[in-house]
Amino acid sequence: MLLLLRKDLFILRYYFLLVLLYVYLFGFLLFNNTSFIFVAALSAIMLMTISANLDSKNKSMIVIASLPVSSKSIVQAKYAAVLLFALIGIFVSVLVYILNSLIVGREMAYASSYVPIILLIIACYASLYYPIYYWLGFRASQVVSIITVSIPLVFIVTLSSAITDILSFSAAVNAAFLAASCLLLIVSYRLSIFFLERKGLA
Amino acid sequence: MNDIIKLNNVSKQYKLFSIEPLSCTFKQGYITGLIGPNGAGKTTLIKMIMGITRPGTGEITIFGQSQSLQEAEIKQQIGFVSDECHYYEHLSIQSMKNIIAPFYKKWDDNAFSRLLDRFELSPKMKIRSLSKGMKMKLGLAFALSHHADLLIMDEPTAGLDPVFRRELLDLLAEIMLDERKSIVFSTHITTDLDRIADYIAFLHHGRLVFNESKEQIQERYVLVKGPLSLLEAPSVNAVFIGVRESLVGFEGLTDRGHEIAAIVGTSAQLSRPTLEDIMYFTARGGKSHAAAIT
Repeated sequence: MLLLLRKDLFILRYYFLLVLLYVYLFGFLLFNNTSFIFVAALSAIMLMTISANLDSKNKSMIVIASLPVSSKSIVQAKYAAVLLFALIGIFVSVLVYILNSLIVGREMAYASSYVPIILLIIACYASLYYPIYYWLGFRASQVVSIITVSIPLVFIVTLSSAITDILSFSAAVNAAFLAASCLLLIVSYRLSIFFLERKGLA
Repeated sequence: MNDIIKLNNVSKQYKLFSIEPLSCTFKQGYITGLIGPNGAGKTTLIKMIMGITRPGTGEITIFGQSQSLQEAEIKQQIGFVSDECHYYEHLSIQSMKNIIAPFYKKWDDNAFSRLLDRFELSPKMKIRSLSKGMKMKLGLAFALSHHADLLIMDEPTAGLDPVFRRELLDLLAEIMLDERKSIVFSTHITTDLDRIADYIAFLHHGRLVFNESKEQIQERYVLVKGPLSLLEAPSVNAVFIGVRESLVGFEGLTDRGHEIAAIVGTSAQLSRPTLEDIMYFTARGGKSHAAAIT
């Protein structure tokens, strides 16, 4: 599975520049109170979608499926990549905070309560995206991704206009967010495996 | 003689196409050609063997192990070449190698470099810049660089120029000098199989028509050429698998050679059919008419 994760990072290496461009736009130029959530969640979603796009383009999934790994490991690696991309997203948002504070000189605070809501947004997206990807294929998942991306986007935009201070939730709410994220990913993983068992990878 | 691949009642159902329950074995140490017209189910069958597509029913055993249970271990010993290039187009050959090589316990960098030299490919070349033939060569280089015991290829010669097709067949013949190696490859260019295949499995409309040695097939089938008047007798018509009529006579395929020889005597010419003849007449079935010559 680690080799599959490594493969994802390897094929994405040029596309990290695209993410940086996006981070510059939303993390610096169009900065607001929800930029940290925006940057972290959408960076991860972007990486997830590009990775799936690259696998589907030219049907590269056939090459992956012919490698000495089980089909289950391929699905497991996709879900492990969700967590990896989430970590990258969170890291990038912390970087945006540091650069904004130290270089741009904006006065702000990075709340740890951002992390659960970032994970929830990413989990919501992944939990819809991957089962549809394994069930109906890449094209259907792309259509769904437009819809599912727009949901967190609307949510974050609404949030940014509604709040003027640091977004903060109680510990119980944060725990609920984390639990919901885990549950969504587990159910989604089971569904993806179910479709894989019925249809195969390509 | 060991079976390297065993299919037991394997089927697959799609909306517009299905592989009917199919049982057969492919032998170790031989080249098996999988033939059939386009849409016969060759690629689906190969995808099921590779675990890329799941069979609806049945079980596939490779190297004596269950494909579904030992998928990763089995694929360590398989070199796979697909009908088209499915590598990441934005990467170079070297980068693609860096992705693929760590997956194989027996990956041989020297063998890979030698094959790239032989195929006149540079590791720096971007995959998107390669021609179809070069991409097929690259696929072969990857498939042959981890000392696989079984090489599975889906239409490897399609779209290749005759020179490289010959080279590829020579390369396959070289591989087969090691009797532990086995090759299964699908094609609809049957002349390639006439040259190198030991066994032929013929798929048509998702059904296995036969899976026999080339000699057995050539002994069993007879191609008959004669005047149209011979077809007027119902007993003659009945023995043919397929008949092609033209203005100058008919050509028909039968697997009842002795019977037809006794009926037609010297009024028809009997010969050994090529694999293409067998595929053509079986696929068309019944009577067909050649285009009139004007």
